[in-house]
Amino acid sequence: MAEDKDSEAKREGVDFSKRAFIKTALIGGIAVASGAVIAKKITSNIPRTKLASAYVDDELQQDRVMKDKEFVVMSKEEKEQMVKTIVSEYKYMA
Amino acid sequence: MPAEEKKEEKGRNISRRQFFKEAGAVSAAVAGAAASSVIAPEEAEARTTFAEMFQKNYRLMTDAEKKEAIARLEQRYSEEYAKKVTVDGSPAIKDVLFGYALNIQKCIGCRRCVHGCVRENNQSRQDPEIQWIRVIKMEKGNFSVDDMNKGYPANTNEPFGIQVGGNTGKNVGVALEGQHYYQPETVPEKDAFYFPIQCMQCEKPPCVKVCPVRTTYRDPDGIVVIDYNWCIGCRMCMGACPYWARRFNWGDPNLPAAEMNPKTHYLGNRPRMRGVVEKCIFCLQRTRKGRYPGCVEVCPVGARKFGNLLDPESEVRKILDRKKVFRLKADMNTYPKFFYFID
Repeated sequence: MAEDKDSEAKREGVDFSKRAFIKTALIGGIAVASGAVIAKKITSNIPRTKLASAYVDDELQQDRVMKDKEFVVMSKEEKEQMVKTIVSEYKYMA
Repeated sequence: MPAEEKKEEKGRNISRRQFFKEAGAVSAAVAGAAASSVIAPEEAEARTTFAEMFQKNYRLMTDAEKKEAIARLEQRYSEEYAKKVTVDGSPAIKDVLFGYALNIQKCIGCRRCVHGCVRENNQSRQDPEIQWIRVIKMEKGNFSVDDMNKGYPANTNEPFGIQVGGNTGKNVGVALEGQHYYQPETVPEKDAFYFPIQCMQCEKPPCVKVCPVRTTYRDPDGIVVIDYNWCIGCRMCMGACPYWARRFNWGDPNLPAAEMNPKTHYLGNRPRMRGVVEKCIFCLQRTRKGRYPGCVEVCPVGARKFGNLLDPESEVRKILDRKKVFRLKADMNTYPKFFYFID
């Protein structure tokens, strides 16, 4: 039965030897590693023009965020309470 | 079939040892090429980058590990910037909690604080210049406090209350979008006031809560710091910050060697790398040595005040006691320690 399988594989040109397996595994590993390196290089090298727009987008986001601001003057009680909270919660943990 | 015949049949005569030898050599060559393309070419930088990959979060380092990491960085920066660079690792001072107050009436929008901060903290200088402080130009409104309780109908005995307030129709004053880089001939401009914004060093910082790698944390002196080596650049902290006070390095920061400030702190103004977040750290390389932050020193009108919130005699505490104070987005319960005040 086993002999039949071997001869069938031989006829189809498939090599089931240990050497063939290791060879395929090594080539596959190298291919994956190379692919990862190339992908990393490509994704890391963003064109300068795109970089500039990314920075501007970040800046405009702050404008949008600050549009929702509220300027509410704190009452004396609020200030006292705030200072009390901040001071009482102080802990020094080096 | 004998082994020799089998090899001949395939037309190749390679022993297993030879095959492994060749495969190993090819793998090593590919791995070497890949590594050299990822790691920077400069030997000093490459060595440090490799070592940094395996270093712990700064908070978890032992004193010896901290010293080692700092020595590595000092050597690297000194070689990279061709000057003696020191990296400080001073911890927070005991019984000190930093607070900041800014007189919004005095600010003239000269932006000396912005540029002073850039120089002090080794931010990227061009393409673009990363600024931790942003001064927003705002249109002056003409709401009057005196008219707050006035309006129509004037008779307050009416059951419907005031339908039209005394300030109706008056300009409320708005932030002008995209006006960070205003270039007037002189400041202050008529009908404008200026609103500097930077990290508020919140007591309950949302950015710290969302950081998935705990690289940003609040130090005991109230400064929210970042261990740049552990930052993975996910930008979660940026999204969480209600003030959008954090900046992201989309590209490699551009810091000319001649302009580099050699007095740095590990958690502060040491040169950053691509893909990490940075922000105002109250110039901890100065403040932990008893000095004022750069922006406070450089302000020509004395609008900026800085001090210890735990000390009742400090400037900040006195301002909190005596001035009209407001905080940005106080409703978010972040307890910012950056206060705006008016005389």
